[in-house]
Amino acid sequence: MSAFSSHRWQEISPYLDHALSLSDEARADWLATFRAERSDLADVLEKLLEEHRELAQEHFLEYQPAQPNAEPSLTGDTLGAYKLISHIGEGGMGNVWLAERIDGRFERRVAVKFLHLAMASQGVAERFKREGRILGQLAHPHIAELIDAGVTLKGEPYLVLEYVRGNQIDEYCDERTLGVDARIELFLDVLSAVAHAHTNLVIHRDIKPSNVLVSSEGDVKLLDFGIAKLLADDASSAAATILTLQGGGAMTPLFAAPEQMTGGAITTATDVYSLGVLLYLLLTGSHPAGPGPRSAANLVKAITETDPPIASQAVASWEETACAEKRGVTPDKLRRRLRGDLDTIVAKALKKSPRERYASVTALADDLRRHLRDEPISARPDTFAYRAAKFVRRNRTAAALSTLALILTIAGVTATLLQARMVRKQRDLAFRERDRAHLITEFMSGMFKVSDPSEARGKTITAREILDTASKSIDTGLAKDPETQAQLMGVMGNVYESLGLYPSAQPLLEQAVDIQRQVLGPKNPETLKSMSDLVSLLDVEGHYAEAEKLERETLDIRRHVLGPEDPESLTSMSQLAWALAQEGRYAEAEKLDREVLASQRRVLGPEHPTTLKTTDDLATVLTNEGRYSESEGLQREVLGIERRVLGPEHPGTLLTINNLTWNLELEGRYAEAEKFEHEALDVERRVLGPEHPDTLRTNGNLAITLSGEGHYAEAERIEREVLSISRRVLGPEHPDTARTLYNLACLAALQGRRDEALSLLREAVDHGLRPFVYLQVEKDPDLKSLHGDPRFGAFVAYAKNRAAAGSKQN
Amino acid sequence: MGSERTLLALIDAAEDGNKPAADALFSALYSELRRLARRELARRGAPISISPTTLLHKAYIEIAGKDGTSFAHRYRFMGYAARVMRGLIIDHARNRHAQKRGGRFEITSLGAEIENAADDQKLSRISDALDELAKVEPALAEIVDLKFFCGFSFAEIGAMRNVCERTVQRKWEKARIYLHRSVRADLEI
Repeated sequence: MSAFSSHRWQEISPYLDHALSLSDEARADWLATFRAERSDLADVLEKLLEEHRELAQEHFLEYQPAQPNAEPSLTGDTLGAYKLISHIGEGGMGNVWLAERIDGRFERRVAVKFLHLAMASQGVAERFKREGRILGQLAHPHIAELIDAGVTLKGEPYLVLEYVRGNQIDEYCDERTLGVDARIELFLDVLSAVAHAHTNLVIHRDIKPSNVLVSSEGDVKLLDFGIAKLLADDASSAAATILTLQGGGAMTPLFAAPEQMTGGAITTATDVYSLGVLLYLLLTGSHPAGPGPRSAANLVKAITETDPPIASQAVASWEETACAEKRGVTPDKLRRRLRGDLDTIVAKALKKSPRERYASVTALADDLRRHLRDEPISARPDTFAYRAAKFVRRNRTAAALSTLALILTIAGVTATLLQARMVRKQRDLAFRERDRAHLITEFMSGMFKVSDPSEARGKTITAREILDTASKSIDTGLAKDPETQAQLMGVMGNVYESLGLYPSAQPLLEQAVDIQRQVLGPKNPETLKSMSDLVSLLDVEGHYAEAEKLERETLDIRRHVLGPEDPESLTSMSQLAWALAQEGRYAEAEKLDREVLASQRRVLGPEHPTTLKTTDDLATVLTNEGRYSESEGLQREVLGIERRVLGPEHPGTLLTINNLTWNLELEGRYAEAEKFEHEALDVERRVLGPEHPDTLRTNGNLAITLSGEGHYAEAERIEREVLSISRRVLGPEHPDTARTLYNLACLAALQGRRDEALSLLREAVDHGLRPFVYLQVEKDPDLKSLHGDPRFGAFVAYAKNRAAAGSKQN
Repeated sequence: MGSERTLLALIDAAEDGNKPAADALFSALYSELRRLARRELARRGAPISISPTTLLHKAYIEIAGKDGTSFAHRYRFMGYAARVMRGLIIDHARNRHAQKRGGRFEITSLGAEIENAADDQKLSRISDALDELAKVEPALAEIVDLKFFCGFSFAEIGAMRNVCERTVQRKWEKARIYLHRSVRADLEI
């Protein structure tokens, strides 16, 4: 066989594509299977693959041919004490030559780097030499030594550097399929070098993979320390410098920190950020700003405004299998490995505000070392609720900014979803992805239109308005591509939910599930994920029976597909237990929770956040069953671990405090409960903002505690405040809003205002009060003053009827 | 300004299948790249080589200007320019080959060692094979132009096309098998 006919090639090409995507081992297996189908083609393929191996060994076509513009070279020229031997490369900043000393004082070879920059005056040249010498004093085993700096007779500045042979750190890691631990170890060497420079008051300013080389022995060397600064002093602004410095011009500063883009102060925190990008890249194989193509303006926006997807999610966005293989694991394992600590560490290094990042490179290194030793890390994770709360807060102060960030987040998530799908649909990718990208772009720009000044003159646009517009047009806007449509609906539904706008979230999530069931099938992981999202929403909305039904479906499929002890199956079980508990079916809930807990302790470990959450759920069930001391014991145990492992500000910790105070109250231990509630409130007001549902919940509980202590007026004041915020934020029909009405009814009854109490009770029941609250209305001691009032008797009958009608409906 | 606009318009026309426009585009880019290479060399103090990658970036900046052009646009440009760059390199190789016979002339190359006359010939054959490949799978041919002739990394090419590095590499490996077949068939006469 010689050259291919085009017909022959077209026949072979897709198979070759597939075979090349497999590892050697898998390739042999696949070929064997394939031979059974097409023995003729299999022979050809085998030959070609053999040829492929040979070509790889020969490095066929791997090196560029000689350059068109090569002129008489500098070879043999001398530069001070150095003789140039050969041209070894051209980087962003200039040409690099291999050279050796000619005065015989050292044997060693050096690299001479000519910088693309004309030194304007003698003064500048002097300064360049002077600063070069300062940098030369940075002696560290992982810093490539700067031996000399000078300016040629022609005015071209050059640096004489330690000659380092090695690979870029990311390529080195990938080629050797280093696992996550080994990558972190290597990265720690980089950190030690940067830390050393920082203690000598030198900031690198341009940390990126091509500046971090690793020798074949595994020695890390950082190049070009402080060189960016050496050049930057000459330019007018920091941003301009970075942009012009990068490469032969058009390269965009992928590793620059936000403050480098906006002209802010360059500090050691700038290096911390770039190191964060590098770590993100090493761990996930992708850049925090996501894959290209992107315009420079978008990149600037991504760097300065958008929070990157957390590292473990970014794994999904690459060609996950290839990416995970390079780290010696499966995609799922890699995601699990990154989830938690590493997500948190990377996110902290990548904070937009320098002050929120690690205070020093050493602090970052310490956390990574703690992580490797399985000790708790110092950084606290951002929860999605926290991020969403930040949106809401920012909204008030700078609506436009927040809107943009939100949209970019959605766009980012969308891109992630799309990427994940590319893995599965390799074949028809070329056309379809382009179409899809186009559709999304079109849809997104439609969303943006609202913020166009002509469409919204003088009005502040909130994130919510943007979402509202988008959710109205999504039915029609993306009808051509239901899969993408469903994914976007899911994303938007979740954003609504995190903003506490449940009524808007539900139809979107429901539609997403419907569409995915049709298009992807009911067992598809994405369908299941959407079903779970919907269940969570139904739970917070108080639609427990619906939640239960849906969760049982999800659970069945997950058990069947993933096995009963898979973390996702266990999550389904505990969600189901929660729905059952909310319906008052405590014994069933307790049994399920204990089952889940036993598995999670074994599979995830006793201190895993999910295990802790289940323990907390179980304790709540016990409280509901009246087993207060048993519950308290569990809650205090969990709280101790959560404070240590998750930190005092974590929503999980706050939830446990909330449940513990409730338990204490039911035992009549008000003073203890009040202390915990104030503690939780302080954190929630600060972290989530005063209007977040969780903050409202704690506020309401504090009011109950105060009421228990007899401080009715104060309790009532708080409840009224909570009521007005809940009506606005959660909606008048939300179970939590109704519960606040109920609590106000109790307070009225306690103070002898019976008419008011009765009308509030009726209002609460009519506006979504949870049945398990109003079915026990006769037993509620706070309502004692109403006993004997015939109107109360009538109300109880009304409530029971309503509950009966409600359960029949289900 | 005027000629810059024209180049962009030519790309559009060529993409719509306008053959004369494609030809005009090729020669326009060819002379533009040559002009730039000469100018860059003249501008520097020392006579040092400039990499094709740098040259293409510079060309793009000059042609597209500072404002508003997107990366998607840049990718289209690079695709065309890479093909032109190949032509430039092949011509240079032929030329160099001729000069070498005449006397002493040093060549610097980036990666290494394709340095003899046989290689120059092989380069022309690879170029011909690439033109054949471009008829069947143009995307593969473009990757080879970008990677082998212009020195873009897989990661950069991936970023241009919004696919991952590994995918680009796989396509390139596939193209390499195709090219080797063609070149070897030629060589085995």
